Amino acid sequence: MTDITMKKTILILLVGIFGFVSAQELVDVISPFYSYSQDAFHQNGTFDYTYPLRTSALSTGSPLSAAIGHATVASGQMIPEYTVNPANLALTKYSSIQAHGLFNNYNGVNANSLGGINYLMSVPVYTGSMSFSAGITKVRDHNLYYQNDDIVQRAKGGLYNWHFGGAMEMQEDIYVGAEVSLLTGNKNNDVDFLDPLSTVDGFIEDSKYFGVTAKVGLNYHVLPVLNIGISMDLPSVVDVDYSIRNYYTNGSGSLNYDVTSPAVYRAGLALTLRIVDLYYSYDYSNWQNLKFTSKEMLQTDIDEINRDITNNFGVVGSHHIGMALHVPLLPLHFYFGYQYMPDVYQGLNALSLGNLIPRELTDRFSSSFSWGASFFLKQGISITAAFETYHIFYDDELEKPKNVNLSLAYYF
Amino acid sequence: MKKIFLILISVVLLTGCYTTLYPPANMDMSVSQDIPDSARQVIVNNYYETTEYYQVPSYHRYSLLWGSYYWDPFYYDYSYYNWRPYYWYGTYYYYNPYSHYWYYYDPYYPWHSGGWTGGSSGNNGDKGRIHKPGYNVLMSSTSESAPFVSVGSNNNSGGISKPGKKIGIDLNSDVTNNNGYYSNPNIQSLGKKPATGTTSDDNLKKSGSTYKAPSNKKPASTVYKPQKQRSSSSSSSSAKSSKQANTKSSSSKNSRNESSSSSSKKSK
Repeated sequence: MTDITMKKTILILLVGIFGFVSAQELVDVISPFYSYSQDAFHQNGTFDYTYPLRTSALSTGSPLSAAIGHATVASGQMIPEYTVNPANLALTKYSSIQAHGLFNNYNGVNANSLGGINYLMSVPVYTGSMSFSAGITKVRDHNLYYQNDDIVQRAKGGLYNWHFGGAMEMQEDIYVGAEVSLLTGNKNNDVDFLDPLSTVDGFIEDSKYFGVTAKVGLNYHVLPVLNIGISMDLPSVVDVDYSIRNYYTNGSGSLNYDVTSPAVYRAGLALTLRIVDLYYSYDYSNWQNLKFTSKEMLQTDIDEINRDITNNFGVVGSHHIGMALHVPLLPLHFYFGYQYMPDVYQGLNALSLGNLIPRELTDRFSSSFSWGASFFLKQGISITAAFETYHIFYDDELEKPKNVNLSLAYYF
Repeated sequence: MKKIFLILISVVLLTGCYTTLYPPANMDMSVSQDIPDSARQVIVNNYYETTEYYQVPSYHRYSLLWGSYYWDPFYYDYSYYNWRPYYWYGTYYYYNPYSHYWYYYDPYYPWHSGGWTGGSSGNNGDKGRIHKPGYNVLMSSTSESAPFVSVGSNNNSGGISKPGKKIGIDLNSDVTNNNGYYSNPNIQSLGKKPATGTTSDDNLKKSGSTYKAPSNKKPASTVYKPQKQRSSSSSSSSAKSSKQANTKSSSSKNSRNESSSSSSKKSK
């Protein structure tokens, strides 16, 4: 990894001189999909030192999903909106239009963006159920602000999912669904070196994303009060147009490369009672299957990055727990959720926390607490607010980025 | 895990599809001239739209703010899970296989008493949304026919002794419990407990006190249980009663027919 990180140092120097880019790092490769951080080397003209190179990719989504910690694999008819399992669509018996905005705060810096616009349509059928959905949803938020004695880092942007999905009841009480998506987005990363002796004052990275992905899922309405769901996010292929430029420099270097994310397998259940609903989802993904390719890089550099992926990334198992509380006698619902999301860094994820891991390394996971409420203004029209607070440890400091999701929906 | 997932999906896909857009040919009532309008009914699974959302008991909640029941898509009452929906002339009828009672939604009592507070989307608002453009007529229903009107043997000009079987729906099966014991089906408004006396052998009549006509609030809408009507030898009186009921509830019926047009995609 040292060789790779050294390349960025060289690259930054070269950009100012030749306007040329030739290498990427793990943090750049994984940044469209997952949060990651590593140390990078830098020179101040006298000696080398490391500075943190970070990327944030907080999961975002529809407001009710966010409120229950994205535990929507089996949520079925209880979360009638865009979820991680397309089979849930078929359990929704009516149509809806929903628009929501996303307000993010990371270490005091705010970013506002469109959260999504989604349309769900239930098709009249003689027996069974059939539904379709279309829309755009922000699935990753890259807003990040970090400062220490060496740097100030500001990042913004996000990844949007343009999706079209369909679902139907294949067997009685067994629903299957599929979804195809286009991924678009961008990320702007600004790193400012505070050291006055630094060889460069700072650099700005711009990344533009365009990709495709798909999902398939199944939801089994086992009992009137119980849903069991499984789904699979097929590997996402994202084309990245990357450019970098130094402060006070007109020239920039660019690079095009492709990143293929690993498949994500999800399983969960939902217990839907009259007053209280309980949700649970488990996500499994092997980030060693992340693939990096580029036609503009030397094959030896590509191989090195892929080796680094295998050597550093591992299996991630995330837990999502949610609860809904339907307030009696009022058109009001409360939602609560919790997420446990290990770092992709190998050996420090959920599967190895039971081992003897040095204490200073066990902070490589993040979690989030969330809650939300929905209120019906009148028949068929609801407003929803979801509040997520992440807990991320970095350099022994606790960060609490927050997402607020506000939604207006019409059900008809 | 990937293999398990793919195997599960494959098994589900290969074992056929439960969802059907149209009824089977032998149940296509729209082309059959032998079936009287009064016998045309459709089972509609899992599809509700605006005009029917009041009729879906699983999503009903009571709000103190508005003093009425409302449709809540974020709520699901599993106790209605086994209720079977039957669609008849723009109205959903639900049969509870445990209590052997028929239920249907009465838009004027008790679910919807006076509309929404402070808004114009009460009864009038709902009526305004009843008709949706672009929907075909579900069936050639006549406004003269009432739900579950008699199609007994003496009234069987179309040669149908058991309309339920003819169209693939045997109402007899719905009124027989697991022990084979025959119990009379009863029709009640949703949310109301079974009224005493509704299980008599006479033609079942929905209590006038539980129904409010849309305009003048007069009691109306006589509803007959199908079993008794089919076995009744005095079909003329039944038909007379039913026609009388239709006359009384004509305003409501017209709304229903409009509703049926908006729901036509269910069976087409």
